[in-house]
Amino acid sequence: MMDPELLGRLIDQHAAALVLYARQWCTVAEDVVQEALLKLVCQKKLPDQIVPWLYRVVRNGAISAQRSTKRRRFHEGAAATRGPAWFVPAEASAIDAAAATAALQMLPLEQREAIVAHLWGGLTFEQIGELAGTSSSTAHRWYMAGLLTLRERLGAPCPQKPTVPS
Amino acid sequence: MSPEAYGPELASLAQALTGLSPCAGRLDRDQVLFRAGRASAGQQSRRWRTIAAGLAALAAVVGWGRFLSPAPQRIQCIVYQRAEPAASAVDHLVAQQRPLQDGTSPAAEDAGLQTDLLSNGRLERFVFAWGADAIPAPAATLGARQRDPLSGPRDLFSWNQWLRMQPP
Repeated sequence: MMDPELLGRLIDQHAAALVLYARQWCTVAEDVVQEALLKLVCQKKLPDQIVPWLYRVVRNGAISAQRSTKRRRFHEGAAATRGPAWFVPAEASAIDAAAATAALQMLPLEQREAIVAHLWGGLTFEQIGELAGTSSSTAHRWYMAGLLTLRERLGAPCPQKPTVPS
Repeated sequence: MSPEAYGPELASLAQALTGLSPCAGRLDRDQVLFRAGRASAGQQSRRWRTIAAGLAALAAVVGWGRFLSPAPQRIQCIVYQRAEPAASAVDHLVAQQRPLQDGTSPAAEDAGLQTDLLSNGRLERFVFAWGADAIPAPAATLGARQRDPLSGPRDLFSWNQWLRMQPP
């Protein structure tokens, strides 16, 4: 059985990032993360790598929730499409939270997933590749492409590609 | 290819993005901890419920099996036991009032012939009914049994009777 102290530490350090990760697919990200944490508590044997395990469970739960949300939206109309804020607004931050959210939302899903999992989740590209069912190099490529697109959208000029010495 | 490979600008963009704190939304830390505790307690109670349900099912199966099994067949046994006829009081009275033939009372003689067949219990009943005097002496009984019947009685009264009964 899981130590409550460890669970509290996991919530403090990773819950918000997990919620952001789940938001890439669904609007009920908090419920998905909560269920994932409860699943972790109910595990008889703790996984070797808890954080990647949590990201995997959150990803699966978010994709399932997205499917059911799509069905519900079909009946309820488009009123439920507006989602909550992805980031905590901060004065000291160099990037506006709303702008960053809008820029992220316009990225393709796989690029968003790679950026969120790497920047806020702290996962390696190998772990991201395992999550997404692809190679680490592909996950890295998604990440770089997403960053470049974000840079363009957030108003900064695109950097020159490095010249490869022949 | 890391962001640094594209220059410091992309790296600073990544750094700036990391500076944004994700919003946890409605996720309540205390609620998660409470639900986690309840879930772990529920697991234990589920284990006990499973054990109780299993035992109840076992009891039901055993009870149903007993209900369905045929009733035990009643076996009638007849035990034959040799019953020694108890000497009735009338027989003993008649035997006592019979005239003596050879010096011993008929009851004693009768009893003497059966002494070896008497069980302890019967001997006890016999003594209680007729007293210790009615028990024949083992020597007299043995002598009466070993005596030749043709040798005739011993005392005079019996001899007279015996001679009277002889054919002329």
